[in-house]
Amino acid sequence: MLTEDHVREALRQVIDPDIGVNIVDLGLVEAIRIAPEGIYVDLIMTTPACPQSTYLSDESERVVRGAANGDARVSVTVLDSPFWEPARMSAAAKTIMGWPG
Amino acid sequence: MISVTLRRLPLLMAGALSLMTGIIAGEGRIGWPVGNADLALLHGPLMICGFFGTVIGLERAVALGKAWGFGAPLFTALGGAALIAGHPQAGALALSAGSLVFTAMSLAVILRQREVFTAILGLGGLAWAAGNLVWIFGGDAAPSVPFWAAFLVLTIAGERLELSRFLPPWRWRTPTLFPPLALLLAGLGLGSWPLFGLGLALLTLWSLINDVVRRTIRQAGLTRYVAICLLSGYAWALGAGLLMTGLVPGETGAFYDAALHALFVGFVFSMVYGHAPVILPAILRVAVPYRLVFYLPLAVLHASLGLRVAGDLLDIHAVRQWGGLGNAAAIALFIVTLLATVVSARKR
Repeated sequence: MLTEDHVREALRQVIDPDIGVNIVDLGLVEAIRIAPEGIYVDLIMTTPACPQSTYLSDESERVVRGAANGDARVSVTVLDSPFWEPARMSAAAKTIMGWPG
Repeated sequence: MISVTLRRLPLLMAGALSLMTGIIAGEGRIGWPVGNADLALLHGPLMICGFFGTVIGLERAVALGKAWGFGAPLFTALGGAALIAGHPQAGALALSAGSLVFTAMSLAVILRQREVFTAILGLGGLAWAAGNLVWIFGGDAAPSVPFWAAFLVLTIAGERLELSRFLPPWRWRTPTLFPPLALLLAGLGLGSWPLFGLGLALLTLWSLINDVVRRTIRQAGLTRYVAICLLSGYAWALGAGLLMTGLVPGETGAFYDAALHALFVGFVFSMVYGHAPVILPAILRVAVPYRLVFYLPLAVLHASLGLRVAGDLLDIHAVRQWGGLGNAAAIALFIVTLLATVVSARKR
């Protein structure tokens, strides 16, 4: 049985190529919901002009589908809000980007 | 129902048509026996408005997810085609319409997210539209070139400022951005290449200090490749800015050629090379997995541009010509590399 943690772990494979850090640690994953009809992932972007939104959502869909062995319907949505802010980054991501510990 | 790939491919192909024809026009301009005198005059409009305008407009429309936004690349694609077909007025009008829709997209972004970086993206769109209007009313593309340069520089600067938020906060980050921007815009308003160049050089130094590449260069794979593209592009932008400080009004000689190509080929194409493996999948929904071979066209681009700029500065025409041909080869090699990567990824 796939759990939210499994999905979150799968999403760590999706790397933002401009930053080199996965979207979970960057704080781009807003919500994960597992329902009988499918797996739902909500992403947020840093801006509505983000050129990578489709790339990141397609990659997310691919890895979650892989984690679900193709058995479940997977839906990834890029939300209009909220927008990303630095406080959403994990401690690991901040360390990589040079934030003081 | 037609797939996303098939719906967007014609727009991208139209951008590619402008690119190819623009390159042929450019080669004719430096003396290779291709194209004709009329086509040579269209080198800048085709490369900047027809190619970059279409690709950046398509990228922005995909990101914004509004159907009307696709009007920007549609108009610029038609505009490029009209220029190629020998209808300069219709082409200029369509390209202007595309830049206005693009500016409207920038405004929509600003209304949704009021930040300094979205305002800079908006200024980029405005500069492009203003350059097109100058072109239409003046009938000559040369006075529009600084506006078109500002379009690309401000668009890239806005995107990089946005990403700088991943770095530790620094209270002077945004305030120190304003003087270079003010110089750049003053250069634009006053028609002064030296002011524009000084602004560009300072903006590049600001970027080198504040861009995430300082961190991402230590990573591996695609992230490092993107960082190397960016850093090498910044080096050319700095060179372009310094060269521009020595330009006088109306200058169109070898020094001008060196400054402009350092910016448009060295800086802008480096950005294109770095982001194509990410943007192409977003636009066409095709996989472009990172390959080490991506560095080959990048190396050819920089080497050939070095040759071209050396030819310009030493005033050795043959060296300039071979460098220019090398630039075209680097772009062709990059396209072939991307296509081969897409095809091999689909076979797997």
